[in-house]
Amino acid sequence: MDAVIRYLRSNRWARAGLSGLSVVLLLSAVGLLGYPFYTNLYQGRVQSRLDREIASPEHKELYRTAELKEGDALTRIKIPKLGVDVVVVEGTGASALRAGAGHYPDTPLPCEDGNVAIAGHRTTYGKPFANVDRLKTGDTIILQTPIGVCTYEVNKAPFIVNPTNRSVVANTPGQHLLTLTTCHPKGSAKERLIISATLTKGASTRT
Amino acid sequence: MAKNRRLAAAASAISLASVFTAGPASAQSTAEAFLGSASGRALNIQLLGQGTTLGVATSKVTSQLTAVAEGAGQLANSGTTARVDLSGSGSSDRPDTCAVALPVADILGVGLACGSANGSINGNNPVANSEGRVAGVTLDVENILGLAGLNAPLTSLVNETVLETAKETVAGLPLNLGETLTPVVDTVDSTVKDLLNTRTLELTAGKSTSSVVTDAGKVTSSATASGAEIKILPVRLPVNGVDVGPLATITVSSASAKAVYDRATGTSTPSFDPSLVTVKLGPSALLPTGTEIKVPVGASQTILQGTPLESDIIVAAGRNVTNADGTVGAIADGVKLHLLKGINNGILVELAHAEAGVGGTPAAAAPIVPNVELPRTGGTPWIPLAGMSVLGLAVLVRRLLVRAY
Repeated sequence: MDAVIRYLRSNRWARAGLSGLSVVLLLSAVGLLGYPFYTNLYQGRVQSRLDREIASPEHKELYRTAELKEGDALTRIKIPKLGVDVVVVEGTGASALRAGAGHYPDTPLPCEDGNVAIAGHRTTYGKPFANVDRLKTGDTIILQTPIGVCTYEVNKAPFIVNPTNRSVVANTPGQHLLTLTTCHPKGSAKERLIISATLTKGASTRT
Repeated sequence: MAKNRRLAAAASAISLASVFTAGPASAQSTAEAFLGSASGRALNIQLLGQGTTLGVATSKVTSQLTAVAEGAGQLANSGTTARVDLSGSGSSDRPDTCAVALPVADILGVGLACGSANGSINGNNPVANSEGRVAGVTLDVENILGLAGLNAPLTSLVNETVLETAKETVAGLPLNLGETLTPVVDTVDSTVKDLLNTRTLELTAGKSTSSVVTDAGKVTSSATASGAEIKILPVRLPVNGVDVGPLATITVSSASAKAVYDRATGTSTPSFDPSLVTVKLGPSALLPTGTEIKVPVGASQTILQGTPLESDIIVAAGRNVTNADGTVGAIADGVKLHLLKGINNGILVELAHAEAGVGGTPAAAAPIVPNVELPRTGGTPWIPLAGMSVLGLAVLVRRLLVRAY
């Protein structure tokens, strides 16, 4: 170490280069550490756009005819106990999920017969599902679509599954269920946390 | 010491990041599946509500490494049945299991009935073979009539029916035999009377075999049923110094079916070779040499029409089939004979039936699934960790610079 310091003392250009490097490293660290805050800001802007989109009459017609594309506003999800109130988009791709929460496209539309499944971020991008592990049996979840509102009640305590266990989002014809999925533990993608709820009010169809 | 602390911190950061980063799901391959089966039946005979199946061979192998083979001289007769049943690996050989002088359902006599079977499983290649055979099958008219309660009308049957219709029989033959008929009526009179009191039908049936052989490239199922010869009124008696042979001789050639499964491509190819039937009519003393009728595949023929000895011959064509288990197969349907229809509805005989089937799916790699996981919604945990690491590095560099100034 002393040799390095002696070398730096004797070499002005080395000191200047190292000084520049330290600045670059500092800026990079700020950028990396600020990434979660950046995603939250980005998600906030997306939500503002989705708020306007979901309220428009044109969007109501698209919803009714099931012509929504990935990334389009689908439903508003409200979890009163957690203070959650975000617009859910269609699709669960990485791009769609930058809105915070996305609807599994191969599951029924909100409030309809079967297992409606929604994935949401637990960290970053507004982290709407950050605290869904606190939900308990009987807590309510409200879905407000362009054509109606329905209420679900959590039917069991949140539980954990492997990331590849897609049975939790399998359809259940004849049962009106809502399944929320998010990563677990918080900040990791090692497992998935599942919340299952049963429709109690406001079943609907698009016809 | 400070250097060690820094190295430990870096290692901890890396291990923490690896814990948070879940790997993709692993793909699974589909194992090869195949099934091969073959069966052959030499003879099935039905008379007066009784019946039996003789010369039966069945074999079956599966990709679960099972091999089952069973050969029987008479179906459901353990004294004439040999069976091997293997799974996993190994080999077994059951040589001939035979019974002699077998009385069958009071209507038939069987001189010898035997079954044999063997099988082996070597690596992924199961093999099963079996054979069933009979010899000396005879049927006596007195047994038939006794069972049918027709002993009493025997004399009138001979005098009033057989004798008269024997003339029609000969007259009805496809050749112009009118001139040769008259001198032999007396011969028929005496001969038929003797014959009806002794043996009416003599049947010589061969063996049936079945085999399913698996090697590295294919699974071959094959079955054969050898031919048979049926003689109606078979006793040969010298009449006026001339040897009088059977009134009719029906010769059935062998039948075979085969199906081959290509383990690489998963395709199956069936093929069959049905029986051919030749009928030779009349004792040599009654008809010119070479009076033969060849019954084409898929056709039927009636001989001795209008007499109690009237018999139908139905020669079935082979066909390719798709079985319920998905295998593709070939069937050589063999020959069906309805013999002596005038005697208590006659005797129904099915000969030379062979069928073979095989099918499967080759081993295949699982399709690549882009992402079978539930969506990742936990953020990217390595980014804050990397940020902390880079910040630490920046601080170190700054401290180094401070000491250098």
